[in-house]
Amino acid sequence: MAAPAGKTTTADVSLRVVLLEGEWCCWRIIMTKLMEWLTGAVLILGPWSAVVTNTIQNEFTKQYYMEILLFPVFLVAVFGLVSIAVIAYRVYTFNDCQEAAEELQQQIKEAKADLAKKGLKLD
Amino acid sequence: MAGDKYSVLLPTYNEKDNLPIIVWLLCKYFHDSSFDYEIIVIDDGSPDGTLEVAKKLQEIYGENRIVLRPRAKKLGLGTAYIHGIKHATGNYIFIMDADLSHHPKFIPEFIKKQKEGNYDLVSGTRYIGSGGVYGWDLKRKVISRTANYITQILLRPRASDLTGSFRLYRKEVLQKLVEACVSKGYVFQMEIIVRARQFNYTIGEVPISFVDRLYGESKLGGSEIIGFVKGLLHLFVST
Repeated sequence: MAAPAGKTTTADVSLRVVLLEGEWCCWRIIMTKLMEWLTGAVLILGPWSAVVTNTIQNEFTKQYYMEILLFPVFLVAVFGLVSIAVIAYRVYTFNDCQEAAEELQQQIKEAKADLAKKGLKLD
Repeated sequence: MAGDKYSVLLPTYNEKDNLPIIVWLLCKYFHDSSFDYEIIVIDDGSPDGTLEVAKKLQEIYGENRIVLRPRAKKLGLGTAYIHGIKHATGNYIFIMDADLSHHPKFIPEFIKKQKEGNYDLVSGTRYIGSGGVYGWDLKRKVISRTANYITQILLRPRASDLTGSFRLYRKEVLQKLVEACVSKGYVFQMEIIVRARQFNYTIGEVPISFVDRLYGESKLGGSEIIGFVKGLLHLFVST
Protein backbone atom coordinates (compact mmCIF):
# COMPACT_ATOMS: atom_id res chain seq x y z
CA MET A 1 0.00 0.00 0.00
CA ALA A 2 2.16 2.88 -1.29
CA ALA A 3 0.88 6.30 -0.37
CA PRO A 4 2.03 9.31 -2.37
CA ALA A 5 4.36 11.46 -0.26
CA GLY A 6 4.01 15.14 0.43
CA LYS A 7 1.62 17.60 -1.09
CA THR A 8 0.41 17.18 -4.64
CA THR A 9 0.16 20.29 -6.75
CA THR A 10 -2.87 21.08 -8.80
CA ALA A 11 -1.44 24.02 -10.70
CA ASP A 12 -2.16 22.17 -13.92
CA VAL A 13 -5.72 20.95 -13.62
CA SER A 14 -5.42 18.46 -16.42
CA LEU A 15 -2.43 16.50 -15.17
CA ARG A 16 -1.26 15.76 -11.68
CA VAL A 17 2.32 14.70 -11.25
CA VAL A 18 3.09 12.87 -8.04
CA LEU A 19 6.52 12.04 -6.67
CA LEU A 20 6.35 8.58 -5.17
CA GLU A 21 8.00 7.94 -1.86
CA GLY A 22 11.24 6.03 -2.23
CA GLU A 23 11.29 6.34 -6.01
CA TRP A 24 13.54 9.34 -6.25
CA CYS A 25 14.08 9.17 -9.97
CA CYS A 26 10.61 8.03 -10.92
CA TRP A 27 7.70 10.33 -11.82
CA ARG A 28 4.24 8.90 -12.27
CA ILE A 29 1.65 10.83 -14.23
CA ILE A 30 -1.84 10.30 -12.87
CA MET A 31 -4.73 10.77 -15.22
CA THR A 32 -7.50 12.87 -13.75
CA LYS A 33 -11.05 11.75 -14.52
CA LEU A 34 -11.30 14.63 -16.97
CA MET A 35 -8.22 13.35 -18.83
CA GLU A 36 -9.65 9.82 -18.92
CA TRP A 37 -12.85 11.13 -20.49
CA LEU A 38 -10.97 13.29 -23.00
CA THR A 39 -8.82 10.31 -23.94
CA GLY A 40 -11.91 8.18 -24.43
CA ALA A 41 -13.53 10.91 -26.48
CA VAL A 42 -10.48 11.21 -28.73
CA LEU A 43 -10.32 7.44 -29.19
CA ILE A 44 -13.92 7.37 -30.38
CA LEU A 45 -14.29 10.72 -32.09
CA GLY A 46 -10.87 10.53 -33.80
CA PRO A 47 -11.64 7.62 -36.12
CA TRP A 48 -15.25 8.80 -36.37
CA SER A 49 -14.35 12.26 -37.66
CA ALA A 50 -11.79 10.73 -40.02
CA VAL A 51 -14.55 8.64 -41.57
CA VAL A 52 -17.15 11.38 -41.55
CA THR A 53 -14.91 13.90 -43.27
CA ASN A 54 -13.98 11.27 -45.83
CA THR A 55 -10.33 11.39 -44.81
CA ILE A 56 -10.57 7.64 -44.51
CA GLN A 57 -12.98 5.84 -46.73
CA ASN A 58 -13.65 2.39 -48.03
CA GLU A 59 -16.56 0.22 -49.15
CA PHE A 60 -17.85 -0.17 -45.62
CA THR A 61 -17.74 3.51 -44.70
CA LYS A 62 -19.40 4.52 -47.96
CA GLN A 63 -22.21 2.05 -47.49
CA TYR A 64 -22.89 2.94 -43.86
CA TYR A 65 -22.02 6.61 -43.97
CA MET A 66 -25.31 7.82 -42.43
CA GLU A 67 -25.17 5.25 -39.65
CA ILE A 68 -21.61 6.17 -38.79
CA LEU A 69 -22.47 9.86 -38.89
CA LEU A 70 -25.30 9.39 -36.42
CA PHE A 71 -23.38 6.96 -34.20
CA PRO A 72 -22.48 9.51 -31.46
CA VAL A 73 -26.10 10.66 -31.30
CA PHE A 74 -27.11 7.04 -30.94
CA LEU A 75 -24.62 6.56 -28.08
CA VAL A 76 -25.91 9.60 -26.22
CA ALA A 77 -29.51 8.49 -26.69
CA VAL A 78 -28.77 4.99 -25.39
CA PHE A 79 -26.88 6.45 -22.44
CA GLY A 80 -29.80 8.76 -21.69
CA LEU A 81 -32.38 5.97 -21.79
CA VAL A 82 -30.28 3.59 -19.69
CA SER A 83 -29.64 6.36 -17.16
CA ILE A 84 -33.32 7.16 -16.80
CA ALA A 85 -34.13 3.48 -16.36
CA VAL A 86 -31.41 2.99 -13.71
CA ILE A 87 -32.39 6.12 -11.76
CA ALA A 88 -36.09 5.24 -11.92
CA TYR A 89 -35.35 1.75 -10.61
CA ARG A 90 -33.21 3.09 -7.79
CA VAL A 91 -35.84 5.63 -6.77
CA TYR A 92 -38.54 2.96 -6.84
CA THR A 93 -36.51 0.59 -4.66
CA PHE A 94 -35.26 3.27 -2.26
CA ASN A 95 -35.93 1.92 1.26
CA ASP A 96 -38.24 4.13 3.33
CA CYS A 97 -37.07 3.02 6.79
CA GLN A 98 -40.44 3.47 8.47
CA GLU A 99 -39.44 1.07 11.26
CA ALA A 100 -36.25 3.02 11.88
CA ALA A 101 -38.21 6.20 12.51
CA GLU A 102 -40.63 4.41 14.85
CA GLU A 103 -37.82 2.73 16.74
CA LEU A 104 -36.08 6.09 17.15
CA GLN A 105 -39.23 7.74 18.47
CA GLN A 106 -39.63 4.93 20.99
CA GLN A 107 -36.01 5.18 22.10
CA ILE A 108 -36.25 8.97 22.49
CA LYS A 109 -39.01 8.42 25.07
CA GLU A 110 -36.93 5.75 26.80
CA ALA A 111 -33.86 8.00 26.85
CA LYS A 112 -35.73 10.97 28.28
CA ALA A 113 -37.19 8.85 31.07
CA ASP A 114 -33.84 7.30 31.92
CA LEU A 115 -31.97 10.60 31.85
CA ALA A 116 -34.61 12.22 34.08
CA LYS A 117 -33.93 9.45 36.61
CA LYS A 118 -30.22 10.21 36.39
CA GLY A 119 -30.83 13.91 36.99
CA LEU A 120 -31.17 15.48 33.54
CA LYS A 121 -34.64 16.80 32.86
CA LEU A 122 -35.58 17.37 29.23
CA ASP A 123 -38.70 18.76 27.63
CA MET B 1 -8.83 -6.99 19.84
CA ALA B 2 -7.54 -5.77 23.20
CA GLY B 3 -6.58 -2.13 23.31
CA ASP B 4 -8.91 -0.82 20.59
CA LYS B 5 -10.65 2.37 21.59
CA TYR B 6 -13.25 4.22 19.56
CA SER B 7 -13.49 8.01 19.70
CA VAL B 8 -16.80 9.42 18.46
CA LEU B 9 -16.51 12.97 17.16
CA LEU B 10 -19.74 14.94 17.55
CA PRO B 11 -19.59 18.44 16.10
CA THR B 12 -22.64 20.27 17.46
CA TYR B 13 -24.42 23.51 16.78
CA ASN B 14 -27.73 24.15 18.54
CA GLU B 15 -28.37 20.53 19.47
CA LYS B 16 -29.47 20.95 23.08
CA ASP B 17 -32.48 18.67 22.51
CA ASN B 18 -30.77 15.98 20.46
CA LEU B 19 -27.44 15.78 22.25
CA PRO B 20 -28.70 13.97 25.36
CA ILE B 21 -30.50 11.40 23.21
CA ILE B 22 -27.55 10.68 20.93
CA VAL B 23 -25.21 10.42 23.93
CA TRP B 24 -27.65 8.08 25.70
CA LEU B 25 -27.88 5.89 22.59
CA LEU B 26 -24.11 5.87 22.04
CA CYS B 27 -23.41 4.91 25.64
CA LYS B 28 -26.08 2.20 25.49
CA TYR B 29 -24.75 0.51 22.34
CA PHE B 30 -21.08 0.83 23.30
CA HIS B 31 -21.76 -0.45 26.79
CA ASP B 32 -23.78 -3.40 25.48
CA SER B 33 -21.03 -4.34 23.04
CA SER B 34 -18.18 -3.86 25.55
CA PHE B 35 -15.99 -1.77 23.26
CA ASP B 36 -13.89 0.97 24.84
CA TYR B 37 -15.05 4.42 23.76
CA GLU B 38 -15.18 8.14 24.32
CA ILE B 39 -17.49 10.79 22.93
CA ILE B 40 -15.85 14.09 21.99
CA VAL B 41 -18.38 16.91 21.81
CA ILE B 42 -17.14 19.80 19.69
CA ASP B 43 -19.61 22.60 20.22
CA ASP B 44 -19.18 25.73 18.13
CA GLY B 45 -20.48 28.27 20.63
CA SER B 46 -24.13 27.23 20.36
CA PRO B 47 -26.39 30.01 21.60
CA ASP B 48 -29.06 27.53 22.74
CA GLY B 49 -27.03 26.14 25.66
CA THR B 50 -25.83 22.88 24.07
CA LEU B 51 -22.58 23.11 26.02
CA GLU B 52 -24.40 23.32 29.37
CA VAL B 53 -26.35 20.18 28.48
CA ALA B 54 -23.06 18.51 27.50
CA LYS B 55 -21.59 19.37 30.91
CA LYS B 56 -24.58 17.76 32.68
CA LEU B 57 -24.12 14.64 30.53
CA GLN B 58 -20.47 14.63 31.54
CA GLU B 59 -21.54 14.55 35.20
CA ILE B 60 -23.80 11.57 34.50
CA TYR B 61 -21.48 9.49 32.33
CA GLY B 62 -18.05 10.58 33.49
CA GLU B 63 -15.30 12.78 32.11
CA ASN B 64 -13.51 9.82 30.55
CA ARG B 65 -16.58 9.03 28.42
CA ILE B 66 -17.82 12.52 27.57
CA VAL B 67 -15.00 14.80 26.51
CA LEU B 68 -15.78 18.46 25.87
CA ARG B 69 -13.69 20.39 23.39
CA PRO B 70 -15.79 23.43 22.49
CA ARG B 71 -14.84 26.24 20.15
CA ALA B 72 -15.80 29.90 20.27
CA LYS B 73 -17.80 30.06 17.05
CA LYS B 74 -19.01 28.11 14.02
CA LEU B 75 -15.80 27.15 12.26
CA GLY B 76 -16.70 24.37 9.85
CA LEU B 77 -16.58 20.60 9.74
CA GLY B 78 -13.02 20.02 8.50
CA THR B 79 -11.48 22.02 11.32
CA ALA B 80 -13.87 20.37 13.80
CA TYR B 81 -12.49 16.98 12.78
CA ILE B 82 -8.90 18.21 13.05
CA HIS B 83 -9.67 19.66 16.48
CA GLY B 84 -11.37 16.42 17.55
CA ILE B 85 -8.57 14.18 16.29
CA LYS B 86 -6.02 16.18 18.28
CA HIS B 87 -7.87 15.35 21.50
CA ALA B 88 -8.92 11.80 20.64
CA THR B 89 -7.32 9.05 22.71
CA GLY B 90 -8.80 6.24 20.63
CA ASN B 91 -7.09 4.52 17.72
CA TYR B 92 -10.32 4.53 15.71
CA ILE B 93 -12.60 7.48 15.01
CA PHE B 94 -16.34 7.54 14.32
CA ILE B 95 -17.81 10.59 12.69
CA MET B 96 -21.56 11.05 12.65
CA ASP B 97 -24.31 13.65 12.84
CA ALA B 98 -25.58 14.72 16.25
CA ASP B 99 -29.14 15.40 15.07
CA LEU B 100 -30.36 11.77 15.37
CA SER B 101 -30.29 11.17 11.60
CA HIS B 102 -27.55 8.58 12.25
CA HIS B 103 -28.38 5.81 14.70
CA PRO B 104 -25.71 4.43 17.05
CA LYS B 105 -27.20 0.93 16.72
CA PHE B 106 -25.03 0.56 13.59
CA ILE B 107 -21.81 1.11 15.51
CA PRO B 108 -21.23 -2.58 16.32
CA GLU B 109 -21.85 -3.34 12.61
CA PHE B 110 -19.25 -0.79 11.56
CA ILE B 111 -16.73 -2.28 13.98
CA LYS B 112 -17.47 -5.83 12.82
CA LYS B 113 -17.10 -4.82 9.17
CA GLN B 114 -13.83 -3.04 9.84
CA LYS B 115 -12.36 -6.09 11.54
CA GLU B 116 -13.65 -8.44 8.83
CA GLY B 117 -11.76 -6.71 6.06
CA ASN B 118 -9.17 -4.81 8.09
CA TYR B 119 -10.46 -1.71 6.32
CA ASP B 120 -8.90 1.72 6.65
CA LEU B 121 -12.34 3.24 6.57
CA VAL B 122 -15.92 1.99 6.73
CA SER B 123 -18.62 4.13 5.15
CA GLY B 124 -22.30 4.04 6.05
CA THR B 125 -24.37 3.85 2.88
CA ARG B 126 -28.03 4.71 2.33
CA TYR B 127 -28.06 3.39 -1.21
CA ILE B 128 -27.39 -0.36 -1.08
CA GLY B 129 -28.70 -3.37 0.76
CA SER B 130 -30.91 -2.53 3.70
CA GLY B 131 -29.77 1.10 3.66
CA GLY B 132 -32.38 3.80 3.16
CA VAL B 133 -33.85 7.11 4.22
CA TYR B 134 -36.93 8.01 6.26
CA GLY B 135 -38.70 11.28 5.51
CA TRP B 136 -37.83 11.96 1.88
CA ASP B 137 -40.56 12.63 -0.68
CA LEU B 138 -40.35 11.51 -4.31
CA LYS B 139 -38.67 14.72 -5.49
CA ARG B 140 -35.93 14.45 -2.89
CA LYS B 141 -35.33 10.80 -3.71
CA VAL B 142 -35.03 11.56 -7.43
CA ILE B 143 -32.58 14.41 -6.79
CA SER B 144 -30.52 12.22 -4.48
CA ARG B 145 -30.36 9.21 -6.80
CA THR B 146 -29.63 11.39 -9.83
CA ALA B 147 -26.84 13.24 -8.06
CA ASN B 148 -25.35 9.96 -6.86
CA TYR B 149 -25.63 8.44 -10.36
CA ILE B 150 -23.82 11.39 -11.96
CA THR B 151 -21.16 11.24 -9.25
CA GLN B 152 -20.65 7.50 -9.83
CA ILE B 153 -20.22 8.05 -13.58
CA LEU B 154 -17.89 11.01 -13.30
CA LEU B 155 -15.73 9.92 -10.38
CA ARG B 156 -16.09 6.09 -10.31
CA PRO B 157 -15.26 6.06 -6.61
CA ARG B 158 -16.16 2.40 -5.92
CA ALA B 159 -18.22 3.53 -2.93
CA SER B 160 -21.99 3.73 -3.17
CA ASP B 161 -22.66 6.72 -0.90
CA LEU B 162 -20.26 9.62 -1.22
CA THR B 163 -22.09 12.37 0.62
CA GLY B 164 -22.79 10.29 3.71
CA SER B 165 -21.18 11.37 6.97
CA PHE B 166 -21.57 8.32 9.19
CA ARG B 167 -18.16 6.68 8.98
CA LEU B 168 -15.46 4.83 10.89
CA TYR B 169 -11.79 5.62 10.25
CA ARG B 170 -8.45 4.55 11.60
CA LYS B 171 -7.25 7.68 13.37
CA GLU B 172 -4.13 8.20 11.25
CA VAL B 173 -6.15 7.66 8.06
CA LEU B 174 -8.69 10.37 8.95
CA GLN B 175 -5.88 12.71 9.92
CA LYS B 176 -4.15 12.31 6.58
CA LEU B 177 -7.38 12.64 4.60
CA VAL B 178 -8.60 15.77 6.38
CA GLU B 179 -5.24 17.43 5.76
CA ALA B 180 -5.49 16.64 2.05
CA CYS B 181 -9.05 17.93 1.55
CA VAL B 182 -10.02 21.46 0.62
CA SER B 183 -13.79 21.34 0.01
CA LYS B 184 -16.69 22.26 2.26
CA GLY B 185 -20.11 20.79 3.09
CA TYR B 186 -21.38 17.77 1.13
CA VAL B 187 -18.38 17.92 -1.15
CA PHE B 188 -15.96 17.58 1.77
CA GLN B 189 -17.34 14.10 2.49
CA MET B 190 -17.09 13.24 -1.22
CA GLU B 191 -13.53 14.48 -1.43
CA ILE B 192 -12.53 12.31 1.53
CA ILE B 193 -13.60 9.16 -0.30
CA VAL B 194 -11.94 10.23 -3.54
CA ARG B 195 -8.66 11.03 -1.77
CA ALA B 196 -8.88 7.76 0.16
CA ARG B 197 -8.93 5.94 -3.19
CA GLN B 198 -5.96 7.98 -4.39
CA PHE B 199 -3.99 7.01 -1.30
CA ASN B 200 -4.98 3.37 -1.84
CA TYR B 201 -6.85 3.10 1.44
CA THR B 202 -9.34 0.23 1.66
CA ILE B 203 -13.00 1.08 2.07
CA GLY B 204 -15.77 -1.12 3.48
CA GLU B 205 -19.49 -0.32 3.49
CA VAL B 206 -22.34 -0.86 5.94
CA PRO B 207 -26.00 -0.18 5.00
CA ILE B 208 -27.51 2.37 7.37
CA SER B 209 -30.90 3.97 7.81
CA PHE B 210 -30.90 7.76 7.73
CA VAL B 211 -33.80 9.39 9.57
CA ASP B 212 -34.03 12.86 8.11
CA ARG B 213 -35.56 15.15 10.70
CA LEU B 214 -38.12 13.14 12.58
CA TYR B 215 -40.20 16.29 12.76
CA GLY B 216 -40.46 18.01 9.41
CA GLU B 217 -38.22 17.51 6.40
CA SER B 218 -34.90 19.28 6.01
CA LYS B 219 -34.68 21.54 3.00
CA LEU B 220 -32.43 21.04 0.01
CA GLY B 221 -31.97 24.49 -1.46
CA GLY B 222 -30.77 25.70 -4.84
CA SER B 223 -27.53 26.98 -3.38
CA GLU B 224 -26.72 23.54 -1.97
CA ILE B 225 -27.33 21.93 -5.36
CA ILE B 226 -25.12 24.52 -7.09
CA GLY B 227 -22.43 24.03 -4.46
CA PHE B 228 -22.61 20.28 -5.00
CA VAL B 229 -22.28 20.59 -8.79
CA LYS B 230 -19.33 22.98 -8.47
CA GLY B 231 -17.63 20.66 -6.01
CA LEU B 232 -18.24 17.62 -8.20
CA LEU B 233 -16.77 19.35 -11.24
CA HIS B 234 -13.76 20.45 -9.21
CA LEU B 235 -13.12 16.85 -8.16
CA PHE B 236 -13.65 15.70 -11.75
CA VAL B 237 -10.96 17.95 -13.16
CA SER B 238 -8.47 17.66 -10.33
CA THR B 239 -8.47 14.02 -9.25
